[in-house]
Amino acid sequence: MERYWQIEKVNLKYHIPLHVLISVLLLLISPFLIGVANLGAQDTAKALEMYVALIGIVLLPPVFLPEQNHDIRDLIYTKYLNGTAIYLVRILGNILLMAVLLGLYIGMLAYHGCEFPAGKYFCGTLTEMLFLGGLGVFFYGLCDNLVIGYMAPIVYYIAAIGGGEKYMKMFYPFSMVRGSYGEKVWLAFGAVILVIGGVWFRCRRKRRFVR
Amino acid sequence: MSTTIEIRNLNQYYGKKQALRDINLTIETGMFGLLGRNGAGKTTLMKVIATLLPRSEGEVTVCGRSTLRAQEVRRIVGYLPQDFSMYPNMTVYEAMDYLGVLSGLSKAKRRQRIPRLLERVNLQDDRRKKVKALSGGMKRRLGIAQAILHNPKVLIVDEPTAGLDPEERVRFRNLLCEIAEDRIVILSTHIVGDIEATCEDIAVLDEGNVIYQGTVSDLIAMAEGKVYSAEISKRELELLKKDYLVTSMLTLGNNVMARFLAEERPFASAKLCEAGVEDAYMYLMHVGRGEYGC
Amino acid sequence: MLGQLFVRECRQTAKSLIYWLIVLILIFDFTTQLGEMEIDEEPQPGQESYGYRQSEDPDIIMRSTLGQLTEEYVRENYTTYPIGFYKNVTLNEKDDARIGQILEETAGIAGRESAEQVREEWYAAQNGQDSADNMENMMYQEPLKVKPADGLTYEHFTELMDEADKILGGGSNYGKEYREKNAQVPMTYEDAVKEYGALIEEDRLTGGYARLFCDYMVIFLGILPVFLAVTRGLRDRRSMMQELIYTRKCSSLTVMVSRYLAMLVMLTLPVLILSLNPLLKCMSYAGKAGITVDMLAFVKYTFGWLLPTVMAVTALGMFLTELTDTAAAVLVQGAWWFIAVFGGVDRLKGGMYGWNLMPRHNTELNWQGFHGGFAQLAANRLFYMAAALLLVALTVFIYSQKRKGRLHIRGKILANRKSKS
Repeated sequence: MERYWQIEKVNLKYHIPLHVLISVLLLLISPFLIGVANLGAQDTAKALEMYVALIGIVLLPPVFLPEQNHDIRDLIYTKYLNGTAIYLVRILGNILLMAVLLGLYIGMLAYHGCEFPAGKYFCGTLTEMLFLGGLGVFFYGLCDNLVIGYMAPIVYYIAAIGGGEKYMKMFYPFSMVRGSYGEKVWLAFGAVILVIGGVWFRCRRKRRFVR
Repeated sequence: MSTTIEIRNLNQYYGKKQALRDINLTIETGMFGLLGRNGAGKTTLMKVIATLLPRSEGEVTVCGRSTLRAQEVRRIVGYLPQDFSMYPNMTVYEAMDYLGVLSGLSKAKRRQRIPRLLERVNLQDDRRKKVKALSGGMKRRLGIAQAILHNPKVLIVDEPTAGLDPEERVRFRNLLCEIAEDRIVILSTHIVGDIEATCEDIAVLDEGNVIYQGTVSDLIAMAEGKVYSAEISKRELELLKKDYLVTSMLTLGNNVMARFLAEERPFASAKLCEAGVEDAYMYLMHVGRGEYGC
Repeated sequence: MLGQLFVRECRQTAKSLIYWLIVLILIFDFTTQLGEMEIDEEPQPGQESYGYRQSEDPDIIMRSTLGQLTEEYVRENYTTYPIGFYKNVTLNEKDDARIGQILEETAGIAGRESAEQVREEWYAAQNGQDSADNMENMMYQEPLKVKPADGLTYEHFTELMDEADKILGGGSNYGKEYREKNAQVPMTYEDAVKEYGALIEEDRLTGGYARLFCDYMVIFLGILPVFLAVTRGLRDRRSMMQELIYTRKCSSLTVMVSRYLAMLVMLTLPVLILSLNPLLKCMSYAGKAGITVDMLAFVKYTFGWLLPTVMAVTALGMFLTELTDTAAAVLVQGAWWFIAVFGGVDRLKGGMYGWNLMPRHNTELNWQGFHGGFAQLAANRLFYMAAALLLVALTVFIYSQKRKGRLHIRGKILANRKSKS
């Protein structure tokens, strides 16, 4: 257990602070861009699903970044603890950070008189964040390219805004705005597959490089 | 136009840390070796000459052109960094061609020179290979080919033999010697053997200072009469190490044949030996600076 | 040297994964949005509806705007869309009092109570109607309209409304755009014929569809180029080739400009190819209907409308990547895209292009709007082109400094250190 905590400590100290800062800034400037007070359930859902969820793209895909250099990667992978464990610890840590930021934001919304089912919206938004971030992790792992890791969730988001409901069906990210929640189950399921797939691809690559 | 590199009163700082201290060097045609520990300032000095770093103080001219006029210097300098690679999905030929264009070579020139250079570094059969498929040694050779692609008057190579197998290393040294026939080749290394095999003139850097500049034979002469060898027991070896700098040892059964540096014959059984570059370098780095009492 | 480098850059781009992903996304965008596009038929008399249009009649604008103001003043909270996202504004006492004064001056309604009275009377009057013959009225109430005060000039009205909009933080129903947008009147058959006529005669069919094409493509072109630019910018560093390139004779200007041009060409090419599809549709329709189309309309619009966006986004990507040596440009451009898209959702129908990075015109019609907003659009497009060139110039400067070992923003020591010592 101590080992895993060490990995997360390094992550918190060196790898993720900048991304957390960007996420916090994104949330802090939100009152200038979107309404955050006295919203009804639908408008709250819009703010959460279409704005706040974006921090999933900021926080999740960079988990592979510290080992972008192949020399570092080879070095890390030869250590006792394997790469998969490192990535899973980081991913869980970052998910926790997202949950905390989201929780604080939802608390802020409730404090400012928005009326919405907090628990349900929390889970729904976190799921969407995971799916967005999971897309990033998956494509980063697959293509070994951070930029593609960012591109995948961003394009997915844009496609959803541009009337992608017709094509995305159960993977439509903004379902709470329409008052539907069933899609979130699919998103959660998809997010898990994507994250696991991404880590698998990433760690599979190492063998190719060692060879 | 002269073919010399003149370095006058060069000081180089990284923030508060001083990486080079008042360097004065004149480098002429032929192989020039830069020797020193890791972190002594070799790479910094080479980067300044290659216009990759702005000099903090002093003056550096390459064949009469100040490094302040970077583009003019780049025209006549070829550089091979210690760590480098090329776009992995390009073939060997494409990578050379791309760098040739960046060097301003015409299409005809590139067509003529690239195959010749690839042949010279023995990569002609790999010209269609992707860069990512090359071994470390092949990559080094490709590196040297790209560095002399535009036929520079000065070639700067930073630790080129690091990571090469012995056979590759020998071939690489020979290649550098050939290249140095009509131009300046500056070679940095911390492997003394490289210098011994290739260079006439050298400079030794330590903590940013030039602590030696001259020919290899003069350096060896400094250690002449100070290199001894003796067959001693393993227990005696420990004692010997305390007082003298042991440069090599060979185990012979229970005994050890030790080679060490001393100002005078320390004991009767010690035999005076002919000094090599490695002995001289160790003498310069340690004994000469009073680290050993000898 | 520039030409040869340009060719090699294009070749490299064509071999990169990210480029083909971008092309796939553009194809996806096109097929989902415009794949089943059909050319409009001429409007026929007796159709149920011809859509709505914005009224330019000051009286209609004033009535509907003052109606909104009365309504929201009574409710004591105001709906605004500063960047297209719903925002609810509640005013402090001082501002609330000022809105009350404005309402009195413009509509002659003094105080909240009389405002409430006006509102109740309006809806009571509607409910009182015998609505049996008009099913729609039972479910849909005509929004409140309020007669302007006697002697109120349109100029004074606009001044006061602009002030109200400012008090509310922008994006309210009282800003210029929303006031005009809210004054919607149904189009008549004659209106529809006139608009269709403009499509055929002024736009020669293809012009209108080229605008629609641009409207859909610009959304993705407002972000995709940044991925290409960042990937290209990081490639040298990633493949440890930076120093080999730095020490070449080639000037920084040539290196950067060749890369920039190659990216622009490679990004514009698929767009031009995609535009052949709607062009062919227009031509086949025009052949049957006996219209001569403007064959070059899609090319003109691609270069005039889309290219400046591509230029700006690519240049920003290059600039930030050279400056920071990270993928930060992706996040910055993402944020800009977000603001630009949501800031433009209320201007979809064209004519109001403003300074948006991605000017919208989500209809093949409304030539009138395009014509009216053309000067603004041209200024907008020229501005982004100029900004892009400025960013490229700055990128060249940064690159030339980095080549000389200066300006390593991401850790000076890190950049200068020996990597194996």
